[in-house]
Order: sequence, then C-alpha cells, then structure tokens
Amino acid sequence: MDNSDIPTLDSWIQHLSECKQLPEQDVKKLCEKAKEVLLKESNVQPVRCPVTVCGDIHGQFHDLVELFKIGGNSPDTNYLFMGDYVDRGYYSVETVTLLVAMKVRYKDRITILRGNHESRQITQVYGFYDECLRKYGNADVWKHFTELFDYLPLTALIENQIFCLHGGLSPSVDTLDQIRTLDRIQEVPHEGPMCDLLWSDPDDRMGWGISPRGAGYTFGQDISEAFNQSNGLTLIARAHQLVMEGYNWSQDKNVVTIFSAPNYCYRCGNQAAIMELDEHMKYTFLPFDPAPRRGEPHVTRRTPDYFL
Amino acid sequence: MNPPGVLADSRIPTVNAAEFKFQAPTKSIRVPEDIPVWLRSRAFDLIMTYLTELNDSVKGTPNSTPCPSSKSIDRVLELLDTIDDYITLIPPDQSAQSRYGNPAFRQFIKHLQQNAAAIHRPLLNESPAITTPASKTTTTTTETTATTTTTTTADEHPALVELVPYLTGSFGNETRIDYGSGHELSFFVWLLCLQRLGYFPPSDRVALVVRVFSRYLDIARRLQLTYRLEPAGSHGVWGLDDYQFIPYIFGSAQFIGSTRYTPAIISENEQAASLAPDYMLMRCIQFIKDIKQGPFFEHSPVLHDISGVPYWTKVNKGLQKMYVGDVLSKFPVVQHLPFGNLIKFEPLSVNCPRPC
Repeated sequence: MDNSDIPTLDSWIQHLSECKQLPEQDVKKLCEKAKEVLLKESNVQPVRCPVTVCGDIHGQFHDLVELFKIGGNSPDTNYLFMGDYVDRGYYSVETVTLLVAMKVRYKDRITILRGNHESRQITQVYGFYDECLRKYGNADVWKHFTELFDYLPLTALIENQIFCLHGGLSPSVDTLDQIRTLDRIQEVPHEGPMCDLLWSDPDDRMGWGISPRGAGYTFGQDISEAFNQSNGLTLIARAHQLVMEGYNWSQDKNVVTIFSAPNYCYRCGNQAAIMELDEHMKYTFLPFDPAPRRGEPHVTRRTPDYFL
Repeated sequence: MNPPGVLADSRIPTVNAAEFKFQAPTKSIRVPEDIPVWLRSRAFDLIMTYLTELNDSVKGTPNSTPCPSSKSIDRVLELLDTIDDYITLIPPDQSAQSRYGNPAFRQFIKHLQQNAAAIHRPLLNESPAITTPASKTTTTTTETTATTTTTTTADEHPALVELVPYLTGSFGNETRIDYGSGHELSFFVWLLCLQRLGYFPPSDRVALVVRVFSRYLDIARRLQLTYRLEPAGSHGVWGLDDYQFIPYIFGSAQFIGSTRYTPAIISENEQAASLAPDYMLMRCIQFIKDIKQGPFFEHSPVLHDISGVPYWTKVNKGLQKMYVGDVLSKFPVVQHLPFGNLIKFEPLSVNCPRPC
C-alpha cells in the first residue's frame, strides 16, 4: 500500500462503518491489496502489547461496532481477531469487508487470523455464500473473499507468551516452529495440522479425543500444559466455542476461550467479551451485550427460487 | 378440503408384521456421492409419498377442525406424553453454565434409549393390526437382530428393531447437544414405519398432523429451551428455521384456500400469537419471535422473503421443493438416517414403482 491509497481506504472504512457494502469492483481491489499485506505475515504472526483480543463475530455487524465502542476505536486500540468473521449472521459481507479494510489501512495495529469459517467449503453451507449471492446478485464477491481467506495467518503470538488461534492444538504439532513451516496458502484441509488449529476444542478428558465436530480433535489439560511448557507460553487464547459469559477459563488457566458475538444468532442469550492486554501484559475481560437497535427499516423481499 | 367419506387408502404399502423380515436399520448414506442413489431409492420414495399424503390431508384444515382419531393416535400421544415427562424428570444441570448446551440432555437421551422398547409395548402388543405371533411367544427373532445393539429380546415384537432407532433419533444428538431437521426427519420416519405396519387407518391422517406432529413439536421445543440445544449444523439467519422444517410444509397447507390470510402474515407483527394455536406455521413464527431478539427481516430473512409470495399454494409447493433441496439432499443431514427393511435403501424398480 502506498500513501495514495489512504484516502480511498479511509472513504471505504467510513462507508462500511455505516453498514453499507462496497461495490464489487472495490471489494476486488481491496482483496488484492489485502493479499499483499497478509502474504508477508507469518503463520505465527508476532504481536506486541497492548492489544485487545477478540473471538467469533459471525456477521453480527452492529455488535462489532459495539465492540469497538467498548474496546476503543481502531487504530487507537490495537486489535487481534481470532477468526470467524462470516457465516450465520445477516451482515457477514459488511463485517468482513470492514475488518479487511482496517487491516489494509492499519496493518501493524490490527491482526486478523483465520477461523474455520474462513473457508470455501464451510461458507457454502453456513450462509456467507448465500448472503453474497443475495447482496451482489452473483458469487464474485464470495470468490474474492474466499481466495483472500487462504492468506490469513493461522495463529499469533503476543510478546512470545500468549499463543492465539481460532480452534486449538493438534496432535501433529508440538512446537511453534512446526506451525511456521506449514504451507498455509490453501483451502483449509479436511485433516492435518492446519485443519486442527482451526477446529480443535479443549475438553475435560485428558489426552486427545475424537471431536464431535467431525474435524480437529479435543485436547485435555495434560496436552495444553505440556504445549505451554515446551514452548515457553503462559496461555493459549482461542475462540470457536460459544461461552455464556463471553470468556471462559479452562484447563487450570492454560486455556481461555473468548467469544465476541453477543446473543449469538439473535437467541442464545450469551454475553460477549474481549480480552484487553495492557502494556504490562495484564489482562482485563471486557464483557458486552448486543448493540441497541433502532426500528426496523423497510427491506424489500426477494422471492427465493423454490417459490417462483 | 377432504370431505368425509372419500378418504382413499394410504399409498404407503403395508406389510404383514407376522411374516415380515425386520432388520435393524443401518446407515447407508456414507459419502456425498451416495446422495443421488438415495434420491432414487425406495426409502426416499416412501418418505415423499407419506409427506405428500399427510400434507394433502390438512389442506385448508386448521388445528381446531374436528377430526376423527383412532386408538392408535391415543397410544402414540401417550407415548409422547411419557417422553415429555422425562424432561420433567431430568432437570438441566445448574452447575454447568459455561457452555451453551446443558449436559443433562445426555441423561435425557440415555433415559429415552433405556425405555424406548418398553414405551413401544402398548403400541405394538395392544394393537390388533400389528400383533404378531412372535410378539406373544418367545420364538427366536431373526438372526439379523441378534447382531445389533438394540436392546430387544426374543419375546419382544420383531418390529421393535426397526422402530426404536428412529424414535430415539428424534430428539437430538447427545454428543453435540444439538437438534435439527435430521431429528425431525427421524420422527417422521418413525411415523412412516408405523404406517407401513398398517397401524394408522386412513381416517387418522389429519390427526397425525394436527395432534401427533404438533405434540412432537411441543416436546422438541421444550427440549430446545430446557437443555439449550444448539441448532444442528445451523445456517444462522440463512436457514428457514434453526430447528424445524416439516411444520412449515404442513402449516402452509393448512392455509390453502384461506380467503382471510395471505402469506404476508408470516412477517406481520401482531398475527403470530393469535393464530399460533390453530396454525402450525404461525406456532413456528411465534416460537421464533419468542426466542429471538432483533428485526424479523434480519434474523429470519428467508421467512421474510417467503412472506412476499402471493399464494399459499406456491408457498406450500415451494417449501416441499426446498425440503428436498435443502434437507433431504444434504449429506450432513441425511448421512445419519439409518435404513432397515421397512424403509429400505434400495433402488426403486422401474417395473414396480412402489413395491412393498
């Protein structure tokens, strides 16, 4: 990105902040620029504190705006998002476009990781594909974004202490260096280390277990303790699971789950949270509720194909 | 829409339980490539035939329409009451609040599995239609059942091996603590199995929808709320509904011919509560409005779109097509459906389109 791009990016961010989508041509340009930025990042992207760590968003645009109100605006606050920007919610397009535009504009102040939903296969089932088709009339925007998703870093490391990723650990990964050598620029595979990092969950049982999700594994406290010990880590921060308070400690504080979509899917009644780390790595969890909404705007109906 | 006295026999061929070779259902849809085979199978044909038959029976028929119902309906309702009581018996675990789904649901399913054979007994052994010599004697059941995990014994009705898995699969997945259209389908197939046994006379059709299926939905909703079941494979706002599908089909049929209500009522604010007792579709809408906060067009954009379709007949046909396209054709949903001999996974014969 050169300086001449800044006014364009600022105008895009302004436009997107009002929950308005960008024209397809601009999305295409944005994704091209974002690829250049993300290609330079590591599979274990180093991050400095202070930084605020966030979990799943899932297209809940108004709640993302609320998150910025609670946590501070970008770039005044540094952010690390741990994936799952799209699917399920109504505003995945606006949400992911805004986050990517912010990433390109303030690349050192915001880190965006890949979640298991940042994938061609998953988005075709869980809503983002349908949403793009509906909002743009064709799948081009979906193609631009899913190609970009291949470039997102898999994990981040805050001050060499806190390891951040969407899902969890993998039986094929013992060290951070093993993650650094993965060839990540590809669709999320069905199995293997890259898949596990985006799909696994901590569990009360020790050792590795079969995940009921059908991808990744469950891992016990023995696994996370050993991983933290051998990699000199204090904590694994991850997202991927709905937790009612917005954050949840597990495995004797070796793992914390952060979930940043309040009242998930309009009905779960959960709080959302973000984890603020100050310049001394002291953490504070900031909980938040759904953004208050104004009255319903008039939205035109579009007859689904089955009903024509 | 169905004047009394002209009810045709069911197009579902019945089997003679005394002679039929029952087989414990097993999963047959193993890879996505099996989907085209499934869509041309006898099992699929039976499901679609029964769905259409029940759908057509409630066209223009609100819940309050007086309808005949046999002893069989009463017994099925009693069985559902028993299952409903299990929820009361097994309260949610108050100590487990950090995750969404409540682990007490696993006990509910376990309890259901343990009692599934027993609660079938009044249906099978007291019904003259399907009582078999095998159900009265200790004649050994077929060897196929001996290798299954179903907890039936030799003196049980031989149909149990086929019925039990569909009933226990109707209320959610205990590992994932979730519920979705696949579980709803399992209940529908359970009813279809009973129909295959000749359990319901043709005159029961309306009651099967407005009494039995409605009662099942009440239980499903109670489970969803009590144990906070996650929607299985949720598409979020981009699905028709987080949990159900079939009541939208039956429910739209109930409105066909109505001069008073158009599909626009789906998204109108004040209609749901007053119409919910009489129309399954509006009960679904009311449930959504009860559990979801936020603008309707946003949390339910597909229903919002459907509310713009001008005629109920189009809504009803569209939902049936959508059910095939978005539920029955989807590998993640139907991979869990097992098949025995009543609902058989085999190609439809060209010469004999609906053999029994």
